[in-house]
Amino acid sequence: MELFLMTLTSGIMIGGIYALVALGWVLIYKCSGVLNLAMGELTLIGAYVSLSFYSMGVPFLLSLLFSLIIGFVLGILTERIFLDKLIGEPVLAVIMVTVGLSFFFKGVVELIWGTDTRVFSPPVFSMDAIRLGPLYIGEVYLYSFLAAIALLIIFVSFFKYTRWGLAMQATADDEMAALSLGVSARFVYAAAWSIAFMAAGVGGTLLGNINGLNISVGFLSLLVLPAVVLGGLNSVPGAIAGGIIIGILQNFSGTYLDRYFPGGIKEIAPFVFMAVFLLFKPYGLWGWERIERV
Amino acid sequence: MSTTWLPCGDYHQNYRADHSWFQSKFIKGKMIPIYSDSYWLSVWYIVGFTILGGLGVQLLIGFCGQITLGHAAFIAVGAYTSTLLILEFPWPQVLIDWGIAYPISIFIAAVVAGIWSVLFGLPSARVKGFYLILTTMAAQFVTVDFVITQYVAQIGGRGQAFSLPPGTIKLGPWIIDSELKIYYMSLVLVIICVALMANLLRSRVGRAWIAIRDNDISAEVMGINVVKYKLLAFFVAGFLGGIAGSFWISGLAAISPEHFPWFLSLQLVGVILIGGVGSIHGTIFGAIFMVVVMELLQLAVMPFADTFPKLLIDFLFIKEAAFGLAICAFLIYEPNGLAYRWWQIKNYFNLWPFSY
Repeated sequence: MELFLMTLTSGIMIGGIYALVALGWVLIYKCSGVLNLAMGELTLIGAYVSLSFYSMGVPFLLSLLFSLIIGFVLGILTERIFLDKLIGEPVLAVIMVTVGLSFFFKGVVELIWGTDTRVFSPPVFSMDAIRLGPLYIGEVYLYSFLAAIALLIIFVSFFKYTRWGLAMQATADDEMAALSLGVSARFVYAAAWSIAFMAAGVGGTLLGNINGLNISVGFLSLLVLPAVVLGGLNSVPGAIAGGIIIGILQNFSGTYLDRYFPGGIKEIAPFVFMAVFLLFKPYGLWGWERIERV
Repeated sequence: MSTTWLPCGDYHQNYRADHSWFQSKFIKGKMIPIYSDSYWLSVWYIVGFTILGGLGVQLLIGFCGQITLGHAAFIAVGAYTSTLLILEFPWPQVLIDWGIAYPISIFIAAVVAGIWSVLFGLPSARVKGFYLILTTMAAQFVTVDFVITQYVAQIGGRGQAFSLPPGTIKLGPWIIDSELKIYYMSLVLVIICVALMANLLRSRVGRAWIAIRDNDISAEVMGINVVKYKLLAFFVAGFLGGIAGSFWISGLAAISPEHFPWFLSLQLVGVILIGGVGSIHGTIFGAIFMVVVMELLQLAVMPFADTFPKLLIDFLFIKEAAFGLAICAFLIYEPNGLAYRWWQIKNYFNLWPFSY
């Protein structure tokens, strides 16, 4: 029972971080209808920027803020240079541009920061676990869980109550109709990309605080994909729920299935689960079902 | 006087002349070895592998509209099946002497990779678009990072890498041991696969695939069994991937799961994007562009390595960034790829001097 509860809580906590990164995917998809395959690299960039500031002696929260600002600027630049010219093009082309961008960003990140693992030193969060009743929770996990919840509330109300949020959803639903209603697609895309850069920056910084930072952190954010799909690609609460479900699932399969399938079952279980899940619910838990007409 | 009227600039008088491979005035593969030393021959070996791998991706994305980001998985399945068959299967001595073991293993590897690919194509019956991209990515991670790394690579207790002793790869009377022989083998395989695919696309099956790509609902209305043909496309793509994989081992001293990263899958998609989606020529152009231009880039950068030693280490990253930029640039400025440019140039000369 103890083991079960421990697995459950640590699953929820890891799920909190997954949910943060998953938010980035969902935001871009919800705003522009594009599956952003460069998400892992965005995470890396955000994390490395805040790490660089932090190792220069800037306080942690301030360096996180700097990384958000730089993420914002980079998001607008990316949109202006690459994606601006693709407004009105088929969605596949845009997705493939994000694949190209992911190579480009990855190469640049490796050029600037190298491939060695770097750590936040001195450590930002204390290594001692916080005690909650019979359970122990790492401080990083707790904070990222709280951050995920806070961002969830911010973004849900952003999409529900502000003009910009509604304009973004309209663009994602039907770009042509939104354009004819006077929504500026350029603005929407720029906003979507800067928001995604910033969300990924927060997620990446927290991830970097757990095990240090190297290129594989970007790969980890690919592992978040099952979470996104599970929740439905365009549902913000879905991203959070999916992230937490996947976190729990991963931890349980790590604890209970590792005996039967030694090795990397922990990383793979979410993908297998996702592939099977899609057979039964092709749009995830809360994704929009698109009704196709010829 | 023929009663068939052909468009201006098209002087062929029968179907055969119109469709002949020569008509595309493609570089004659046989000429290449004369001008290449062993370094460039090994580059052409990579080109051949990229063409073979790209063909499967081209089939799925370009002709059937099923976006795949996990093709390296099927190449890996092919490579491992072929290696395992060569190393572990108790071949009768006669077959080894005749050199049939490797060709048979290529075929079996292709079939196994095809079946494996159908397994991961099954969700395509229900899902499409983004969700399908994700299931193909699942194929990549499940196959390479889990099944192959944890189980297949452990067979025979060799640890991670399977080494192929020289002389194991034997094709008929020839032992494939030099760059030149590998090059000729790649040439033969590429020609066979390209011919197979070009002919398949002219058949009922190919037309059905193209109909599904253009609009799968209309295709279904027209009486095409969409699920069957989608799965068939996955099978053929996996088959070609298996051939690519089992060809690739001919030039490698050892294979390990690190040869088939997700990067390779994305690279193959990049190849067809640069070359042109929906064109067999495009696959070949894309592969040549990808490999040869990157080699040329390397040659151009290397002279500076003496003054900036860091450049040697960083070149890999520069290459990666350049590749990403190339994909973006092609999608933005030349969305139809190199094949479209080729078609324009060909038309220009065909129609010259009266371009109407």
